[in-house]
Amino acid sequence: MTKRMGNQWATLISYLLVFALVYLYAPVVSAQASTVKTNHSDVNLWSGAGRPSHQTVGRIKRFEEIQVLGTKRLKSGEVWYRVQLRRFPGWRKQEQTGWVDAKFFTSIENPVVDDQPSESVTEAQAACVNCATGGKSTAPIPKQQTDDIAAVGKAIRNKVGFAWPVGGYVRSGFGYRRHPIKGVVKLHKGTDISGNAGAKVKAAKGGVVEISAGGCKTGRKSCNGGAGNMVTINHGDGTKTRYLHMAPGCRMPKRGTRVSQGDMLGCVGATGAVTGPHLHFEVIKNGKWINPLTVLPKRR
Amino acid sequence: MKLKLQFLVAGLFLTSVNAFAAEIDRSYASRIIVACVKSVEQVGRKIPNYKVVCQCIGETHYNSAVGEGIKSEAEDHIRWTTEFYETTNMKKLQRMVDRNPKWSSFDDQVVDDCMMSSNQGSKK
Repeated sequence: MTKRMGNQWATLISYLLVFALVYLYAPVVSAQASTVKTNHSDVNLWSGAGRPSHQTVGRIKRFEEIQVLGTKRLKSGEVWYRVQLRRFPGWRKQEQTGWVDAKFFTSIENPVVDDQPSESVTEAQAACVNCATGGKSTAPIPKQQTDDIAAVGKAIRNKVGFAWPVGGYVRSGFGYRRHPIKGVVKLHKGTDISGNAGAKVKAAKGGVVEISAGGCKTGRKSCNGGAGNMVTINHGDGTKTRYLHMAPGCRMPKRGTRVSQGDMLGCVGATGAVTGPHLHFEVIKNGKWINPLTVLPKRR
Repeated sequence: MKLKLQFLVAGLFLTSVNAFAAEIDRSYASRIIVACVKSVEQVGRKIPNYKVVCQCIGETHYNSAVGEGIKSEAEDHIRWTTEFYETTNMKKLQRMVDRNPKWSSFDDQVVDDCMMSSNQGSKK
């Protein structure tokens, strides 16, 4: 009897030990509640919500993902998040809780009900290459792209059966671009459309779902080869469209499903190799990638 | 015997979910920053606040690798990026970009974000 009790205690202690070890050393990405991040540099972490009556207890780094534990709306209308920060200096796990101003953060997991309002895209913006450097590059751009730029201006005025898959502005266009630091040239095969995380992604045109690859969570950049959660639709007329980096937890159609224009395919997310939530949208015509802006209607 | 087995399982579990974040060598970030600054200065590219931009690029890639869920992928990411910035041979660079569109695409986004934020001011 005594021996059996001894064994039971030993079993209980071993389970407690395993639990404690998992809790202490499991990677941050294994347990995610609501997660946000900022693209601002050095956002302050405060001891309480609202700046004037509290002090800073730390700093959040740019693109660092933090867990939201709660939300508070102040009388002034400001929204503050209570967050938990986990860092691993050396072998130690350092945890810190505090408050941050929500306006500096973008949620990368919580769905948002409404799309962003659409903004007009001028031809110059649509055709811009290396927009971050002012669109100027002294290096020669391959001929395909210069022809393409002319086609954008003509096609953008005509509706040719496609609809915008999501609201938001074009943050990075299609085309060849030269790396600003290393100078190597590469083709950006689609258009990156900025959108609120969780905004609905809709089919640009009706067709059959050829590929539906999900199972990716935010943070794992290699998921599905860097594409994240993605859907490819075959429109049956030689064209296909691809929708990449969609959010986890949003319903995606299965392979073989017939979809109509405007049907929901997923939500804007940040899965795969991305720095922030956006939709990477590609159009493939007869096996070749083309500029999506040549088939999408002009935004109002 | 049963207790020994349980401890063995606990030990194996621990080694598979260890805090690998600490094992990404911090020197990768420094190497990327140094190589980035050197690339800009050697070729004479006109990039405003290029040192701030390079610092941002190095830190962002490092933080991103640390935040990866799988150690091998984190190491693959940081090693590819470090080699990319340290390589000066254009043919080799082009091969690296063509064969690894995943990290190349991610780096493009990091560079764009860092350049935009440095042009707007480092603190908001």
